[in-house]
Amino acid sequence: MSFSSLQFGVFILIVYPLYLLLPFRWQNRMLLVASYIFDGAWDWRFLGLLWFTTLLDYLVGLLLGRIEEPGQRRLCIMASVVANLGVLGFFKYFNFFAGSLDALSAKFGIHLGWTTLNIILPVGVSFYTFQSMSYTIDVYFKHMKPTKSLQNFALYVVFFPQLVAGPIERAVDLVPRVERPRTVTLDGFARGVYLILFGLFKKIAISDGVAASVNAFYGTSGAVSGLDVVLATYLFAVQIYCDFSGYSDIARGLAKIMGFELMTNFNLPYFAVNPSEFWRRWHISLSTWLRDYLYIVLGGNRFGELKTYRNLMTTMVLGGLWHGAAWNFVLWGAYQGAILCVHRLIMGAKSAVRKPRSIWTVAIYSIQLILFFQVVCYGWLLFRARSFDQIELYTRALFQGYDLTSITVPRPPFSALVGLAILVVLEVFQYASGDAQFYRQWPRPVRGALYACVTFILLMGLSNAPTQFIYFQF
Amino acid sequence: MARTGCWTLLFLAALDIAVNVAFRYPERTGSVPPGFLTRYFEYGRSIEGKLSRMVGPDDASSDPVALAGWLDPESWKDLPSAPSTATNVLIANYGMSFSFDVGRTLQKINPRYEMRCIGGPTAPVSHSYAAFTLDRTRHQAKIVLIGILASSVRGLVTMTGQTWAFESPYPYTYPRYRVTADGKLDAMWPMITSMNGLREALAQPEKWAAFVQQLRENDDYYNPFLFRHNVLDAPVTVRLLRRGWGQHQNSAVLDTIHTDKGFRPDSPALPVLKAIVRQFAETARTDGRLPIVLLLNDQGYSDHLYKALEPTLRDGQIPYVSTHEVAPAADLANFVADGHFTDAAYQRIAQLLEKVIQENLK
Repeated sequence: MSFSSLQFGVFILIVYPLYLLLPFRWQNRMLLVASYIFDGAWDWRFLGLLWFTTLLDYLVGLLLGRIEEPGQRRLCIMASVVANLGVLGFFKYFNFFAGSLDALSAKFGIHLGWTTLNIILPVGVSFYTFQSMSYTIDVYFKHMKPTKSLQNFALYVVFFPQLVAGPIERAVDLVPRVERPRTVTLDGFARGVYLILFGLFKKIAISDGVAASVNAFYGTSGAVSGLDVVLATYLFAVQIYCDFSGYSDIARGLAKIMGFELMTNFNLPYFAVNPSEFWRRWHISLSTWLRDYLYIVLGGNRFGELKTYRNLMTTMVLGGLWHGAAWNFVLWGAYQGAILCVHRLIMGAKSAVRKPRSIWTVAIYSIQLILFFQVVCYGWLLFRARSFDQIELYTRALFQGYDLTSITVPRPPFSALVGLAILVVLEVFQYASGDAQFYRQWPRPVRGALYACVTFILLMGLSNAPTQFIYFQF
Repeated sequence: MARTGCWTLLFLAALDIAVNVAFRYPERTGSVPPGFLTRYFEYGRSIEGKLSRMVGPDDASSDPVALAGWLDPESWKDLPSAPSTATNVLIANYGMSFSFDVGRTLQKINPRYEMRCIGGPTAPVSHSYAAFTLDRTRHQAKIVLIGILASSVRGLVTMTGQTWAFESPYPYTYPRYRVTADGKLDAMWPMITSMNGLREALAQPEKWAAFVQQLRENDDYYNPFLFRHNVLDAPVTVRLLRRGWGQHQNSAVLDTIHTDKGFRPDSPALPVLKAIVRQFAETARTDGRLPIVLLLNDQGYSDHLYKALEPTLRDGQIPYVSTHEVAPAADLANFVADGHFTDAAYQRIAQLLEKVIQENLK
């Protein structure tokens, strides 16, 4: 049940009025049932795994609340981490590692005879295992007290707006919101509706619009030119941003109209001019999760430069692997780690970027932005490619064939092009004002005009062939 | 919030009116097509709404697309019915622009071949087969070629290009075939089979209602919200909504026929497709002609058409050319922007066709 589907429209039209009508205790119960229905709509078999993760981490949380002895506490947290990563490893990575080991041994003439299992990847498993784990880790580090209510904890794990593709919420933030009554204000409702509208606009009008061009190009079996690779990869940069940030906007909007506050997952990532800044703007809930629970646990930057580089590389490679069970994601993670290391080597620990004020600094900033966008896009090439051979072929092509008359990448539909132009203008406004709600300062008629334009382009985009949210596969 | 909502609705209405005024569609399209944006905002108009603009009181005032593809043997009388010289070979070519382009390229490669082309825009194989049966006694072609476009296989569950090509409908009609228990083809012919018939029906509500009823019962792509003309044709916003709904509906029907893995064995179209190919070859051989099946695997269909028909072609020893061998659908370089093959790709396909002809023509 995708957010951009008709079924979800019906689902929310039933759930939301019920939510508004019910008293607080029943709200949580109803949301829990609705969330299980939402997850079960993909495949009811996924529910068993979800219940296992929920029950395990709930019990580990309770135990951690009672035990003070450090050795026993460590044992508890290890049980939670191993079980969660075990679930993730089996369902997401078993076939990948088995297949890779088989291929590697075959090169040495050893035939292991591994067979891959027919495993279905549960929707959102990467997101909810990380979210559930964050609870036990936070309780372990005594950042929060364990919740006594299994129902509230289950709702924290399964809350439908962010179940399948995040944002990966921290228990310290979301559990208290689940436990306390929420207030739905008119202001919050308006903000939520705007986020939902804007998220649908990004997903349906832009991302789904460019998807066909990207898929056709990255699926081609023939020769490609450098210009084609550049154009298709730029389009993929647009697709993945609008797809994922669109999902996050819808998730935040849905939560907002119910009085919940989910974290901002994207903050103008293509306005970054260095990798460190990029990761503070892109998929913020994952990058901060990896920073807090992996990079810092590994030692962060506390043990000298060399170990800092090692920790950066380890974090990013594992972050890449988190995205999917394929070597190109590992390579993408390694690439992100490498550019972070190179940036640190050149700039030291300083990565803060001052907002440009004068014409001169705006010009320099624009050049930096354009140059760094190319670096990001090469990463997207690694991310999107179907094989190492394709990476090699497309990388070679980048150095040849810039003939404007021989472009083979199909032109995206009109709605996507107009939508993208409007998105760029709005994001420039947002960057310049430094306020995600910049439009609220505008007079009502201007705001009305903006909403009308966004709605109109969304309607234009309805004829784009719908595609699944990219991050659902992770 | 309520006031902002009112402003939004007001601007949406203003936008609707502005687009309707700025991109006003001409009452009769005639032979000069309107501009891109004018056409863009019309894609969501109902099929009846579009037809009323395409079909003028006479051929000269009608959209050329409205005149194409009718299974009217009278309109074929100017086509070559015999080779112009004793050494030349006449090929009767039933299909659509793709198969005609292959024929033209074949003629360039070897001018000995002459073409008798009958088809319709993106015509499904039911249209081509019906044309073949109607045309059997009207020519002396040694070779009969039937073109099957992978993306038009879905047309097998329809009776007209009006329904399944919702955004830019083709008014022509053709029979809906079904396979009987003994494996034969049973044809349900549409009530309207010519442009004049369409004109008459549009002018007579009872006749038109009977045709619509026939579509309702026999055309899987028929959908009243997409088909029927009413007041909802006026607002641009509703037209955009209808276009989105049309996309959704048509995808749903297509999903019953084809997925990204290939043609579904349980689809209602596949048995008919196989039966048509078998019947086409049998009939052509009975008539003393060489049947050739041209499998046009266009973009998005990989070699799916070939895979679906290969057992039938092999069992019946039917000569065929499949484009996937020389112009794979996954290679973007084989296609131009409108989805047709490039000249270079047509060249390779035509060379393959000539090879098949030479191997099989005695």
